[in-house]
Amino acid sequence: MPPQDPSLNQIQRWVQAVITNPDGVEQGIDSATATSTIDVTTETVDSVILPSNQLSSIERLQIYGRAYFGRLIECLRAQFPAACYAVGEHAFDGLAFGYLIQHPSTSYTLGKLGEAFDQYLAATRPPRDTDMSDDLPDFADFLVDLTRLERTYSEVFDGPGPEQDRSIHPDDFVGLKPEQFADCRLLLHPCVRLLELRFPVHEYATSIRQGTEPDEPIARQVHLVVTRRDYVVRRFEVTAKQFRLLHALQTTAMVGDAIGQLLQEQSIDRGRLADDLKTWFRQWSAAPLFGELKRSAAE
Amino acid sequence: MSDRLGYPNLGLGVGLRTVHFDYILKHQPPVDWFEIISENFVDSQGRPRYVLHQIAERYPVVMHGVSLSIGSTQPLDFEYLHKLKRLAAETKTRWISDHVCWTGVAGINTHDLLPLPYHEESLKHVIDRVRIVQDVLERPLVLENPSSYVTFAGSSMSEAEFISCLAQEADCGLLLDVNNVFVSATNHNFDPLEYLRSIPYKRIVQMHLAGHANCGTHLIDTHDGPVIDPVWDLFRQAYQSTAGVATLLEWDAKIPDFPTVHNEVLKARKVLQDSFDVSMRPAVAKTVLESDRDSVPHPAVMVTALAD
Repeated sequence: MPPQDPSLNQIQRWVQAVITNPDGVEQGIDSATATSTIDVTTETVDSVILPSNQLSSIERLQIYGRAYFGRLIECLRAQFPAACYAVGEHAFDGLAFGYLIQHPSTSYTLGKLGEAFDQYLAATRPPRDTDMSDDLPDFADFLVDLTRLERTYSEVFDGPGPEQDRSIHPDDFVGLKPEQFADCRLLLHPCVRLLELRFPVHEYATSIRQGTEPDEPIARQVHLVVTRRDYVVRRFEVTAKQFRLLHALQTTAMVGDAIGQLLQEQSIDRGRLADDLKTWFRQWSAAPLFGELKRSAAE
Repeated sequence: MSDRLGYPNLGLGVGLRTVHFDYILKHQPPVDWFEIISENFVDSQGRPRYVLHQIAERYPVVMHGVSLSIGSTQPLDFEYLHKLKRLAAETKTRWISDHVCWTGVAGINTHDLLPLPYHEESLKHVIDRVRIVQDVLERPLVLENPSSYVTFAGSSMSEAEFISCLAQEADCGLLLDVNNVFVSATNHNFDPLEYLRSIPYKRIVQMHLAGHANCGTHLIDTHDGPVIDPVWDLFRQAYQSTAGVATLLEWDAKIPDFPTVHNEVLKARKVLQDSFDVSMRPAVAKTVLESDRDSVPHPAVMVTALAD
């Protein structure tokens, strides 16, 4: 039997336990979480929630129960449109449902609702096909990468960007001697994200956004830079060498140290590297990827 | 107490939605004011906030929240409140509103506007919290009557009584959503006109209009269609009692183009004309749209990213 006058806190804990139960409101009423707060059954729930002229108490609670998952799944569909397309709406809703059970929203904003979706998919992915000897990335890897990309787009879109800050322009390198440049630190804008992906999921996502039929995903190693300019998310592929150099710069290595790491690689064409670096830094500055050129304290 | 707590009558406004950003920036439509969903902007450091700043330079802006959770028994989120305050200062927002509801406990946000039981304990609880929020925001809070689908056996007063006492005791403003009154009156079998007569009209700062869905046995506040005749009738009654307050149309799902949304709120002008010729009545929906039982009540508005 329910307490004579359940407190407001008891009522709220009970309602939340009932309407967020993934098995439905009736199972929610019978759940240990709910009964430990207010001890009613589906037969006695009228003592907490009144029936209306048209609906029973349980039917009234079911409006909230359906809405809880329905609303949040709808938001995840909006945040991950390409992933939703890739698996189909029905399968996506199932994945989103499982995710919401493990990761209910704890924020005032729905913007953070999907922040762990790719990690959830990676952690709950089906086992790899053991018959495949070459260990090629499979569809689950594709989906994890695609959701990771879409989450990154969301973060870059609404996170800090370069628009109101100074950016390093290609002209800023003019007159800088090589040894001075080597002693500098080039700070990337906080919106710059470096993604190593197993599929060209950026092309897939762009197709979905443009309303065109995407190509069948075929695995290939992709090194992607995601950034923002004029409040629009931009992305471009770079080579593995460029990616490693940018990664070294992002982890605050001096320019000289970052280039030095690159020179240790066997495949580097040392004769071309100086020209390549000029071209790369010019392109990246125009992007713009760099917010600050910090010269060494000795100067 | 001055009418509307000194807040101005801004005229007829429209809820600012992402899909209309480009249209508004390009055409600068003659809208009296815009209402934003606070949560979509408080953390934004991207295009939404950039666009909002441009809009706020040209139009009056009001902030309407869905996550204050003023009725919750979990502690208030002061970081969130300070973010609201900062955004309000940036946008010279005319007032900040939210709902008489709770959205979650134990660290969870259901993102639903859940109803309270209406009794002395919950009334005192909400009054205390409204006072704290008003101290932080340094302005009177404006609270909206929710639409609801359950009532509690433990309630000892009506929603109208609860909201009236709350507004008087906490010295806050009210956002009267006439569609919510209609939805809840149908779902809980009370007289919407009696509801309107019960609330302190001098505290009504703003009104909301919206569409809803008819599920046969109940109504759901979906914000996905035009306003229906009975809701316009309630609006007319309430508008006359208040002698005119800022009025806004909400359209959050199946959102049409901006002119359609704007025209819907402009129907309010015709509805309010006393010498209204029946033959000239605007083409408002005569009946509630039939809908399925899986309709999802608002809010479900979020900003999504665009990439090149």
